[in-house]
Amino acid sequence: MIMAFAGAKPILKSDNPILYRSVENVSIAAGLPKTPDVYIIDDMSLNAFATGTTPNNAKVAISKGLLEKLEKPELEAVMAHEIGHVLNRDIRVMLISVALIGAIQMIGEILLRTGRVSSKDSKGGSPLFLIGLLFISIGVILGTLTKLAISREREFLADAVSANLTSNPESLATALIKISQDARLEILDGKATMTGLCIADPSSKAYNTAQLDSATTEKKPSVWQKLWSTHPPIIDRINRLRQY
Amino acid sequence: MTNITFIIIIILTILVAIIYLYNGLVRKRFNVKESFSGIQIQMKRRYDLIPNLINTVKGYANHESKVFKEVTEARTQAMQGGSIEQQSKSENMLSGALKSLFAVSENYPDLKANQNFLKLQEELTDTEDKLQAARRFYNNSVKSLNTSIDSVPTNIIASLFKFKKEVFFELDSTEKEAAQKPVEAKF
Repeated sequence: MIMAFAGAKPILKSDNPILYRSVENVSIAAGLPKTPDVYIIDDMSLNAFATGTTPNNAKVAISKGLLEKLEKPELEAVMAHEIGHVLNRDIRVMLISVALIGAIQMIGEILLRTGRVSSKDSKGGSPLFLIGLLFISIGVILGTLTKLAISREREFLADAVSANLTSNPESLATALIKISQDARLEILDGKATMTGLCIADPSSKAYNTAQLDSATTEKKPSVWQKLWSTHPPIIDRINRLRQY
Repeated sequence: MTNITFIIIIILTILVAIIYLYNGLVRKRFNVKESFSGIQIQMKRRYDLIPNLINTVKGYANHESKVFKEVTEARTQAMQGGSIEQQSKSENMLSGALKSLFAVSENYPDLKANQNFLKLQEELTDTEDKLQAARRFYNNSVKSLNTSIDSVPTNIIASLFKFKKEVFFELDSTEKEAAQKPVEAKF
């Protein structure tokens, strides 16, 4: 269902043997029970994502643009990153965190409304109203920030899995540099829950790769920007990859 | 009374811990076995492809008998099995022999245009890649098992129930080099 949202179409081995084989190989290296279904997103921007709550119903997707731009080892590294999400059960983690925030919001709203109703009777302010307000404002904000922090940590983790599976972290680093040029997936605009599953933030603007390479600090995202993003800055991910 | 319940609780905790650690080791040992069968699947696929390949190449390059012999011998030796060290060695030899076969076939343009040959070559390269992937999975499982056998407190359980360390399926030196060589990035 998520695949249909993203406008991704399933492919067979014969449609694109190179892509299919790299997914196959990474799945073997990861010891997955079966090769995930492979999808291609008909979009020229550069991104990839995975879905599926267990390795058995996992699916991986890659945009047409990225497929054309990557060399074979890089393709394998990107697919290994997505398989990393599958192995770490990140899809489930993300679903749970979204549901938890929803629950906090709902409790807050219930308290808010009951508080409002009872305050009409007693004329004075009801504590329920205030607690509800607290839930919605602080609870949801903190919850969202926590969710984002988890998402960023999960990205690093999936990068590490990819480095382990391919024993070639440099390929993922070069792939990330390429991806950073145009990771924007217009079709995913407004589908915020899905961004955590992509290889790079699909709502981000293109980086300047020259800056990535020279590692200048001036254009680095501020702490505030970092706090509100689903993915760590690509430069940080590359630096970590080069340490492995 | 309270003393006895206290002791019982401690014993129960230790028992549960032992069971937990033991099961972990069993799972890891099973993973190693299963991942080795993954390697075997790819090895078998390679053995099956080689006779076809040799027959196809023979039709075009009849007098390269030395290479054919090399590949056939390496295949026979690899199929004999043996310990994991022997097996990884003979598999690496087979990979080397296949490489020289493909190098020889470069000299025959007719052969290189043969659809059947191209398909076989693709299949073999793919099998080789998959063999590497399966090896990586196997080595990861071995690493995980060996680490647990060596680390506290699982080492006690491991020595108690005689869990043995497993051997890595080694890559040969040329493959190691290839794996470490970074990919060139082009923009």
